[in-house]
Amino acid sequence: MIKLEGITKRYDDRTLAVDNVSLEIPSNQLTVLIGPSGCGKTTTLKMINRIISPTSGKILIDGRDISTVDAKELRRGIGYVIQNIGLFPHMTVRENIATVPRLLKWEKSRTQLRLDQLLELVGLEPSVFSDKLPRELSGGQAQRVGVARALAADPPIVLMDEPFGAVDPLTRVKLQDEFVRIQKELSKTIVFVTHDIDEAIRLADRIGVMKDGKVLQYDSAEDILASPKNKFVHDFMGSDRALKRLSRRSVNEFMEQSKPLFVSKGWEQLKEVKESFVWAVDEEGKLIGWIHVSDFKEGKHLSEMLTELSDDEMLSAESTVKEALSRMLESGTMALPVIGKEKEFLGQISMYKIQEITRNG
Amino acid sequence: MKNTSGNLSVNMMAILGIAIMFISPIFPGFISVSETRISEPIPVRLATVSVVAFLAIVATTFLTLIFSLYSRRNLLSFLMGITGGLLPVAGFAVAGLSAGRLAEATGPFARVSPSSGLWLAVLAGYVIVFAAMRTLEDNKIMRGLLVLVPVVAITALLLSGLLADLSIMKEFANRRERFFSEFARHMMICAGAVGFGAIIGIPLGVFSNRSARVEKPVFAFVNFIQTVPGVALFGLLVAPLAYLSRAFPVLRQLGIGGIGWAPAMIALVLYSLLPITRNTYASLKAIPADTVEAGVGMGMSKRQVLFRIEIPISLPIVLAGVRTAAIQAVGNTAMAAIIGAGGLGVFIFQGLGQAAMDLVLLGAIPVVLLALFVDGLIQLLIGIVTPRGVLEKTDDKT
Ligand SMILES: Nc1ncnc2c1ncn2[C@@H]1O[C@H](COP(=O)(O)OP(=O)(O)OP(=O)(O)O)[C@@H](O)[C@H]1O
Ligand SMILES: [Mg+2]
Repeated sequence: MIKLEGITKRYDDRTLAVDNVSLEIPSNQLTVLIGPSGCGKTTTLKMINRIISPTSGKILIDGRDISTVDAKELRRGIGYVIQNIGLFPHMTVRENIATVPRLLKWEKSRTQLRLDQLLELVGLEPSVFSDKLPRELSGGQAQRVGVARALAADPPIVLMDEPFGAVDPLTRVKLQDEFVRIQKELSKTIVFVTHDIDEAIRLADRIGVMKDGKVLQYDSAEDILASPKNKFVHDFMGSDRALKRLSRRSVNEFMEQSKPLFVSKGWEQLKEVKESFVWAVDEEGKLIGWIHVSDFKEGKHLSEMLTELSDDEMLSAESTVKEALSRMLESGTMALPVIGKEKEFLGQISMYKIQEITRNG
Repeated sequence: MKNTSGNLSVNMMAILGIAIMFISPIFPGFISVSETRISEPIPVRLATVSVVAFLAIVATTFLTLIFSLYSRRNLLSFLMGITGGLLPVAGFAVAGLSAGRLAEATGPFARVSPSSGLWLAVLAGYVIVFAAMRTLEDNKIMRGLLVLVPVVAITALLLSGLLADLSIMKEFANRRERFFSEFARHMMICAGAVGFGAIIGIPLGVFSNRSARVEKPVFAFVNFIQTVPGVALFGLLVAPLAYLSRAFPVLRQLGIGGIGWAPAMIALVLYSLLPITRNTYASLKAIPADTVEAGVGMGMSKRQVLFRIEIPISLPIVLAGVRTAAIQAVGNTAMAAIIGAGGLGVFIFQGLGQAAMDLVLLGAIPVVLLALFVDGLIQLLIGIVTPRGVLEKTDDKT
């Protein structure tokens, strides 16, 4: 755990960049510091690895006051992705990533092994990228190398200052998704600075909202979205706060059970249906469409009443509730089916249920 | 100029050089013979001197032409530059080897000199080497070697005695002792000027980078110096130094006076300042602040930041400034002979005074060779110390 106790930073020119901040940053979670430009995010982050020393207050890592530890030792144990990446222009990708292992005097073979591992982890093919220079990389590739460099010596703590700042929105979402996967695998203690609220919501376990050097609210991402403490936080979360909350919930959690109809079997199944419609599957349980109960006429085969569904009208269990809502609005229905990897029918999610979520939190 | 379809490409500048190279052996005078030092020179064709040499030179020129057609490939471009640069050296060797025979046939006081054809070959070689260097923009090691190989070859040839029968070498033989002492003096003045220039200029660049208040006056001064013509600066220093040496006899005992090495050295140091200061300044500006912060943030010590980040990025640019300063100093030192500083300029001014062309060349040729040698050597050095990632930034920003 990283604990900030009454941290204040006043620069030499009297700028009060950080004002009496106290935070407990839990281990193995991703904590986002967010706020408008100039609110003191970078300053706060840089005090954790002692690039900047606080004017007053102290910082403890696992109970140890960091000002009592040798700064170089401290830093070698904390991964760091600086704002604007800061790759060494005269070193290859390989040499850049090997910086901390080299400082820690790792054996060549160990470093080598680790390098390939890391490049794979961040999605760069080692044989292609190892010997490239930073100037031969695209923005997104450079960001990946920056992340790999920070993770090189497998530090328990990683500080990241707008690591995906300088890339186009599409690449950014891709990098974020990959990063979520990496964090799931590694469970590092990450302090992540950004001013992009969507990024924060996509990645954060906890969020600290900063303004003018102060932390206005520090809570789990869900709680901040559900109950912003004041107008600034409320406005900062945006007018689509409800949608943002839905983007953090997966369909999985709110799926309702529903018994599907086997199209190949007899019409007697319809007797048990209480709703006005029912999802229809083939003999293997794979979803194929739905049937309006009122369309039923004696003697008609079930397959004749079937309305088929396009892929856009089926949700995977991992999709977010926000996505589900968007699909419903698109197809103009009040409910959508949820399917597994093999298209097997799992259940359904309905507009009614979503309203319930947004109302109750 | 670059042709994207296939490997063939036409390097216009190389073609120009090679065309001149083809003309040189068929020119009416490759070398010339005169009965005495002052009588009218008679031109002699290369084919008349030696058919074998003629054929060899033409064949090598053809080879160079073939290399030039593939000059988009680094190695072949390099080979083109090497053969192009060595051709005039071979021309001199032929001239030297045949000079004895030709002189004997002409008379007891006969003098054999290089003539228009051979000088054309020198020009052609220069153009070809230059063309090769242009295509090797980012390979400083090859660039350095392109200059060094012909320069070392011609120097070796001159020192080997093979050219002893050429007129200019007779001039050399007569002044052997003097030549070597002036040459050494020339080298010392240059080395001193560049050395002190670096000792003063590098810190000036460093401080200029740290504070804008230092930067403005420093650059105003060094830029101003560069605009004063060499001879004028030598002249301007004569009066104050003469005054100082009269006022302080200690200075006179040290050999510091209005004329001699002292004003020359001061002026040359001042000239070295601009390129060195400017490049040091630019090199430090080229180090991104983020890069240094990343190093510190990952736990590098001050020393590690200096040796692993700052120096590797800036050294090649600083050296490029030293290179400019050194080439400039070699030439300017020749001018300094005017105020009695000594050096190779002595022969040039003596020769000009006596209208003795060979004597002028005895001073001028080594100056040119020395300048080229220094250029090639420093380029080679830059090529060796430059990390791949900062290559394109090392070019001098004159
Ligand atoms: N070295 C410094 N000296 C003086 N003031 C500084 C210094 N560094 C930052 N500041 C000021 O401190 C405040 C906080 O800066 P900081 O870099 O922490 O902001 P930030 O939240 O990271 O902003 P951004 O999103 O733009 O990166 C700003 O007002 C900034 O101008
Ligand atoms: Mg910042």
